[in-house]
Amino acid sequence: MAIRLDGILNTVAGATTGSYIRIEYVKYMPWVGTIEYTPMCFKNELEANMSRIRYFGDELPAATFPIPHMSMSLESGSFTGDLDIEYTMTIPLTGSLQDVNIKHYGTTINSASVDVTDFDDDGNEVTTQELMTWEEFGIVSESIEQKHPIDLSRNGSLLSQCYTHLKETLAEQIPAESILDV
Amino acid sequence: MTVKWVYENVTGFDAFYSKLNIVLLITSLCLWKKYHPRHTTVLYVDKSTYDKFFNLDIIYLWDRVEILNYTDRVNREKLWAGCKPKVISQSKEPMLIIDHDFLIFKNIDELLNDEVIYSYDEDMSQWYINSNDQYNKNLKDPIKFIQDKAANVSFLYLPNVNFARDYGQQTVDRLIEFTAMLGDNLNTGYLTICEQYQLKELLYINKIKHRTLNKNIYSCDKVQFKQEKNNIGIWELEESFLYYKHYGVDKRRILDNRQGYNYSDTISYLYRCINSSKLINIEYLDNKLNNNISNK
Repeated sequence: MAIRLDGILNTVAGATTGSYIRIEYVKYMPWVGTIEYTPMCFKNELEANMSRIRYFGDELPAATFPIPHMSMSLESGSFTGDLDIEYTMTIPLTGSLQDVNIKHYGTTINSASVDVTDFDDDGNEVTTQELMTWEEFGIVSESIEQKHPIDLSRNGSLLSQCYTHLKETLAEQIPAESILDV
Repeated sequence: MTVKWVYENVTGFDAFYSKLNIVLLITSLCLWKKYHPRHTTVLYVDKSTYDKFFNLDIIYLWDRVEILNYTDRVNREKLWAGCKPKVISQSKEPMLIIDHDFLIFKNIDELLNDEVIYSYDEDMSQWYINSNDQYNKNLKDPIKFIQDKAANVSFLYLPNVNFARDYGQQTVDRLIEFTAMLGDNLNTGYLTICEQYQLKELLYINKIKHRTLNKNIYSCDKVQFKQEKNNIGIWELEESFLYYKHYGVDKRRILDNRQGYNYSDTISYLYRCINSSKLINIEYLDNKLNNNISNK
């Protein structure tokens, strides 16, 4: 699964007509509310293959050929324009906006007046009032706020969802017909 | 009746002594003598504390002062009340043992009969180790955790000498075993389980009659008395505020002048309590403390 851009992709490593963009390192983080992934650009499929992720025990490559995501532009048919690809892309896992009851926690100082034994200057016993205080941790207030809950109902391959997101993001900068699945 | 206090410099350093704690100890003694003039008061101290108190000219306040000379292998810096059970284990007569931060405002002779009395029941929390503790399981005679309350022993009346000696010795034995197993990794959870939980468990197992000054149960977690009551308590909460005060964890709050606590006001209050006993001149005492104690 990868993407090729139809046309000439100009990069700091030179121009290429065989561009190859592959997603690596997908991170599903429901506790943060995001999926993160890393798109990697190569001049062609051969270099992408040579630069593939190695696992423990694999023979290490002599070199890898990722292209830095800087000063890139695409010439495709009548289209010419700059192309900006983030090193780390983020898909928010947000659900639809809804009213949520938010509990605010904190420490409260409580006090109560109690009778205690005291003494006057002559040493006579007198009863006085003392303010007894104590701390309690708990809910100090509640409010209704509009929030996007995290949507955990996703089905299917996370990787394919990341490719769909990447193509949609690229289509905001270049013609959609220039983005080809390979 | 013999009433005992134990005050040991567990660190060995002069910085151990603080004005608040020494004033609390003097107040505890003076109020006790004010309301129980016929009781025999005994103070147990280590040699350096004896010298310190000698310089403060307060030794005479007690009827007798004895110097602790125990060689048990107990990590006293972590298990700071280690000498108290040792004193209890050597009881020869019915006794009361009082913490230095426990103040009484009433004669309680009528309560001192044949039942064990301690301050109050407290629930178990992070202040205590629990039944899952591996080191407890490794004891020769592990604590069994058969009930869920501990006995706060800031005030402890032990009328039965044999029971007192057994309780004191078992506590010392377990503190020695924990010290051998944990060394510097000890925490006060091991002290409270040996000294306070074990007392409640022994009373419970041996079906020994016992009472608490407070009816209400103390929440270690919330650091206050709960509405929940036991069926062996003597005083309602409102009465207990009038009849005694145990400073406990409030000492730290007073030293820090936290909201609702004030160091100067507390010292003034304690001085009024001491003054009421007419046992020592407050100006003289304050001057001695200021010249000999550097920590507030």
